[in-house]
Amino acid sequence: MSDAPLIEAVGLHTYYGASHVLHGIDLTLRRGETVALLGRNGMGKTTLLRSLLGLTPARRGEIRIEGIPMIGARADRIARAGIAYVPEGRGIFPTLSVRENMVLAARPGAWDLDRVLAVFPRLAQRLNHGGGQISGGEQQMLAIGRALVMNPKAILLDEITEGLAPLVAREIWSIISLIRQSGIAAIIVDRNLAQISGIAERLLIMVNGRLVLSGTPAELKTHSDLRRYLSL
Amino acid sequence: MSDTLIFFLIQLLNAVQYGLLLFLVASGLTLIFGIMGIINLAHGSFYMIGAYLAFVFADVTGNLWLALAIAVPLSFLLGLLLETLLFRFLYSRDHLYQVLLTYGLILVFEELRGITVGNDVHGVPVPHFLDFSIPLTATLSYPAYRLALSVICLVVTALLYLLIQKTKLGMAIRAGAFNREMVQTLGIDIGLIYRLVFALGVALAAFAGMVAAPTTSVFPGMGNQVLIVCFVTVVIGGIGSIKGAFLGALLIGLVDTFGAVYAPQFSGMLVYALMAAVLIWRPAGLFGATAR
Repeated sequence: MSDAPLIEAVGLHTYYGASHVLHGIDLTLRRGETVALLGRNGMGKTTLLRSLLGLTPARRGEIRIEGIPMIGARADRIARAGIAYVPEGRGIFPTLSVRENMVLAARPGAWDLDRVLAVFPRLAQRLNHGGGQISGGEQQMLAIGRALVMNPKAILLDEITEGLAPLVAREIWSIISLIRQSGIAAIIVDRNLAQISGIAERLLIMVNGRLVLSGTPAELKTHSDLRRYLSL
Repeated sequence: MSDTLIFFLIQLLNAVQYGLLLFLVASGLTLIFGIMGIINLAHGSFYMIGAYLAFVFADVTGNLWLALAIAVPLSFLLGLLLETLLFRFLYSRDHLYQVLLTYGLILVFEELRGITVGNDVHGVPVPHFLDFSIPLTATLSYPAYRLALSVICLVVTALLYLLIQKTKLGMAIRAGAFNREMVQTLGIDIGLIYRLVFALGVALAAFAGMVAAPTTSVFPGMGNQVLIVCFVTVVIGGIGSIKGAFLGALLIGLVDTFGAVYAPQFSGMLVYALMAAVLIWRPAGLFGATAR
């Protein structure tokens, strides 16, 4: 196993047409590490995830996965390098059954369908339902389960508890803790500072396409600018 | 059974056979449009190319089945080649570019056909062991090849169903029709999926042309006739829906065949009237994505 960070981004600049969204982002994700990406709406958090995934390619900068240059690589190559994605909105295929959604993503490894169903027993009861026929909470579980059966080295999770009932959101957070314990690294975009501080080892605060603060939850808890950056 | 009933049954068999054949061509068209967003005016040309390939290879080998064994893989390769060299550059472009390119391809294919095999009408012989008619009454009979044609189309339809519904490739095709980006983030090369779908569509249309050749003869412009009815099929079924294309093709087969027999003065417009009626009832077609 190489000593290089799992994901390393250096000086990322990403644009939507003429609009300059990411301004020289430097980011490192170590193996097994859980990092939270926080910021107000429109600060570029989703764009950063999309750039790392090759969905919205950066125009300048470097991305390396385990030391291998990935700038300009297609999204499917980055996924095969071990980076899974749980997008905002979940990205479930509604015309595929719950089982098919997972079978399509599955790759050999410790996380197989049975293990995912043991973690999400509700999905086991919905295996033959269409992806569009299950509840929002179940769709979120399916999106996470689908990422897990890829047996990734890292999962990028975008607003995973958005729009979910508090009970379901709590269930999702406990699963995120489980993912962390299983050694899969994660970058989590979320607005729930209290919740995410209990899970992430590092917090990254993003303002206008720049990372302006970085540190452990304990370090940033008392930082004078934190509340201002997050409009708390 | 009375002659009238037998006659009705013969027309029913004709309708089903026509519908199934139409489905094979339309399934490729609806897949290519539904998944890749490509309006392929040249799709009828693949039907024509298939028929001409059957004519050429059946002439050389003296055996239609051998001709099929050579021509179907060739058609698939043609599809791969066209997607790689031309169509993949059109996915992110406006439909106007697609229409211009595919219309241009129709002209190129017709010109190439004229240069290589001429402008005559050709026949493709029915395979020997199917070259007979099944007597139904003292005066009515049904050609065995037409019956075999329906069975062949049903087998291919069943295989297509299994491919789309039961294989991982089929899952990727269905998923790609809904969310291309998400398919990529699962580590699947969507470009390869598109290439395979396009080649499959070309091969299906060409195959339909090949097996239809002994019943329709082979003639210039035969693809254009099929293309228009195929678009009607896709619109009736709902763009992108294989199930819709199947039902739409069978409906057209029934309306067109029985229309020609029982209302010949209106037969030319009945298919379009059917389309209008379906669209009034369900504006996105029978199984269209936004169908109510």
